[in-house]
Amino acid sequence: MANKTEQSNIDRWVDDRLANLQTPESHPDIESRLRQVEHKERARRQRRRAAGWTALSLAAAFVVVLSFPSARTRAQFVFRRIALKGIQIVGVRPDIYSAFIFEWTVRPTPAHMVTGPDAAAREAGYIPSLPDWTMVSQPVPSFGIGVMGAGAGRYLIRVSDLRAALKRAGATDVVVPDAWDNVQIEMDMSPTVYINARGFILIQSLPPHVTMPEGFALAAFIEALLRVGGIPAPQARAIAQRIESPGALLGLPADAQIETREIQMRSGTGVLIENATGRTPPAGCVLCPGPRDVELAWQTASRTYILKTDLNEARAVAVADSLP
Amino acid sequence: VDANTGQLADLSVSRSTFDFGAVFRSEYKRMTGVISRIIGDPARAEELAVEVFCRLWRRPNVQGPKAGGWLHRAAIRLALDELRRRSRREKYEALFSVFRPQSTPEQIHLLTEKQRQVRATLSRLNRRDAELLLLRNDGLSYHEIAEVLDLNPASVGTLLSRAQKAFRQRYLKLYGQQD
Repeated sequence: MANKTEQSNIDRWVDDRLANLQTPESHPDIESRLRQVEHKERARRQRRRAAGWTALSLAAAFVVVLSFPSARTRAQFVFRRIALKGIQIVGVRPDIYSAFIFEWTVRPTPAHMVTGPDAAAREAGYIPSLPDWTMVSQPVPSFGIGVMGAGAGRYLIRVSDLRAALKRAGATDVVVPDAWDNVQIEMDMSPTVYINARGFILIQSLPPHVTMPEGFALAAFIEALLRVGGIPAPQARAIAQRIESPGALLGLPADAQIETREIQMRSGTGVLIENATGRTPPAGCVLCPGPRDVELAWQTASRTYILKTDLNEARAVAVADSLP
Repeated sequence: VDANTGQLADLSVSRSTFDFGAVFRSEYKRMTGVISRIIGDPARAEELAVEVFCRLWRRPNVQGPKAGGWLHRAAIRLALDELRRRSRREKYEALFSVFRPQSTPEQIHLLTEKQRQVRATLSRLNRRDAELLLLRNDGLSYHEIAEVLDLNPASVGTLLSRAQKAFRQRYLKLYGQQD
């Protein structure tokens, strides 16, 4: 009882003192303060996006570096210049870069934000496809749009480098013919458009083109590259053979621990990329899916798309299918 | 860019159905009051309240039914941090002047002096104790305090008693029994 009384006294004593903290009622300008929050956050998001564009540029360059036509297109080499269709996703070790020499002949201008879809169309030379935003969220989100310039590059195969990389990867069973030495593969890609909203990144470009010598054993070369990238032999062979039409290969860091599976989309088959570990992806890997992300890569007749979003799979596919 | 019009859009619209603008309009003044009461500086309180809402903007996971509680806690924490910064700078007199036109000079002096003492005491308490006292003084129930501070509701009473004792001890140590 005494304890209760004492506590009650302390309670009152403290309340009396805290009551001194009352201050006159203020009348803030709420609308101008709201605009201040919006302005601050807009500036902060632009700074973050600028960093994001840089990372995306690197990711896009990675796509370019690993884009090759498939074995089945060898018959079409009479055309020499072919459009890449379809896309395969793999987790690879960075050592894959040491297996060949790549140099830009036309270095793409870095990704940068533009004021809107019209400005993006002017820079990209094509009208960017926008998703049906009502399917993304209600109310419709605000989004940023950026463009990375067109680029062209040349891959040069050095047999000695490729053999050394295979040896480092422990893939000593892979045979590299001497005829591959000094083979050049040329690649050109359209400008890439990035659309970024909260929890939503959409990347699109026109299908890239490659030019290469007739008769080059491309499937075998892709398989060798994948082995350098740490892909086990059966999987590397399967990927090389499964590219049914000229296809691009998107390499993500092996430590991203991704899992991929094919899904049916309106435009055909797409690839769903998932985070296999539930862990946060490696820093700086914008295209690596986070634990709650869904990532889709697919092609239509006129576009190559990559979509990363925190929507669930069904909604992500629906959004993807809303694109032309 | 607004998805419908292609124009630069109102960034108060977030991806989810959470209406940031509506929450801001309904809560900003209250948060300004919470902060102002702690730091005694209405102008600075408005700035800190803006910072609280910027943090809410960046935290989609708290944009929902519990946003009000999260805002309250964030406002108190930001205000206590500010109080500690000011305490370190030892500029109480200049910073805590709250003038009431209807008050006599003696009342003003007495009031600001008491406020200064309370704020100085709060700035020296551990943060959890100060938060408990301020939330309780804001009129929150034990259950609401538990929700805001992520505590077991059954332990709020005990923790609050300890916080009150800690406040009293600290206050008396600093200023003695004055009344």
